[in-house]
Amino acid sequence: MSIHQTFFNNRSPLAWWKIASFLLLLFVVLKGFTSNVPRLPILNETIRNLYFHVPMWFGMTAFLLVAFIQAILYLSSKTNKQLQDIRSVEYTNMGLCFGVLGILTGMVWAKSTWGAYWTPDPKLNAAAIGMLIYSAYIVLRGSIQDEEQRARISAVFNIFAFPAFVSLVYILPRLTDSLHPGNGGNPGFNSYDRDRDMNILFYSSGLGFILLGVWITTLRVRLRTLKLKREQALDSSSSSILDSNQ
Amino acid sequence: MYYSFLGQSSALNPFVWLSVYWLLLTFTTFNTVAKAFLGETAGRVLLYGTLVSAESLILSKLVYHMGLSVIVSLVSWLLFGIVFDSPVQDIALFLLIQTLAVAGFAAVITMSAGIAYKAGGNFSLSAILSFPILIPLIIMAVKASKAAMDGLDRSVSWDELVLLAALNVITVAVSYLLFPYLWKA
Repeated sequence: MSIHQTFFNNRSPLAWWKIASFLLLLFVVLKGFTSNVPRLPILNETIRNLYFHVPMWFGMTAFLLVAFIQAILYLSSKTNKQLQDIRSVEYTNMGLCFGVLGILTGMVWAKSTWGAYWTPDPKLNAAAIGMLIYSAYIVLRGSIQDEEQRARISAVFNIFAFPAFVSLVYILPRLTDSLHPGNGGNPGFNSYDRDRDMNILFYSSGLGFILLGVWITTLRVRLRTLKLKREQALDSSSSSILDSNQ
Repeated sequence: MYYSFLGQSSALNPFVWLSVYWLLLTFTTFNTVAKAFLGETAGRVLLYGTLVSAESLILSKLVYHMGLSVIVSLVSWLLFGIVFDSPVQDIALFLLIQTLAVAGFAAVITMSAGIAYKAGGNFSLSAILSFPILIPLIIMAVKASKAAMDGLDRSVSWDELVLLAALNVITVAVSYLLFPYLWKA
């Protein structure tokens, strides 16, 4: 195999961005738990959660945006539609997965700083309801039998839900009082305590987790494409058997 | 529920009044609009297909259901105000917020009912699809109407009003653009 095929083919397990994801996350895990962080009252060591909690939301937003774009492409294009449908679903799944991880990492953090796993905070509720919107998407897909109809109707719902999701998670919490850093007059972490080393770790974590999510999603998309091809091959062979029987 | 409150006292705590009122509005609108597509038989859908475009169909459905639910919400305002003393101080602003919010509810539920209809005509599916999307509207409407109820300065609710109007416009525009794809499916 040539160097080009090894490092620059997206399908190769050694593609450059997969290696980058691995190295970035290795760096984040090693340095994230051991490097120096500012000593702040209440926050103490939990400030390290910045490297793991915030990137989950970056990832979720990025994946749901990709799913939204794929849904638009699905509706507007004439060719390659099935691939776009599969991508849209898988990126939505990955976004949901990151959202659940974001909620879990946030809950651990909230327990040690706010004293409870869950508070009725606008930001927290918005995140939970955002998950509900996309769970409704999964329910919708599960309730339609016909493949083409399922793809088309769920693409419509995905596009319809995205503006509501964005207003829920990114606009509303900024208008209300919230305990969450970066909202309702609370400063975000960057304004008072993120030094240069933390910034490097923070951004490499964001990039690393997004690349990891893309990697997992591409694998799942390939798996589903293969299954689809196999089904189609089986269908055509069984129909040819039927033809020969007649 | 009304009577259980009435049994205690005819004047509700303003917070309770507001939450019960928004619950009432949400469910009234849902019940008014969720059947938007349920009455459509296969024959009628075929007839619509030959007579009108999908765009004009969704626009007429939206206009009718948004108008209907705004009228129903105004009637609920009157009845609710008669039965329970209304603690609202800035009535004009309150009704404006209510109208914007209910129109937005109706738009979201109309489109969700269309999606649920196409997915097999399941009534509970339209609830599953529309309620999470309604929540941003409800949050904004409750917050702005709380300010109107307390008679705060109108500039306090300006952000929410603009956002409510913007979400209405987005919902109608997105429904208009997407419905043809849905209807053909």
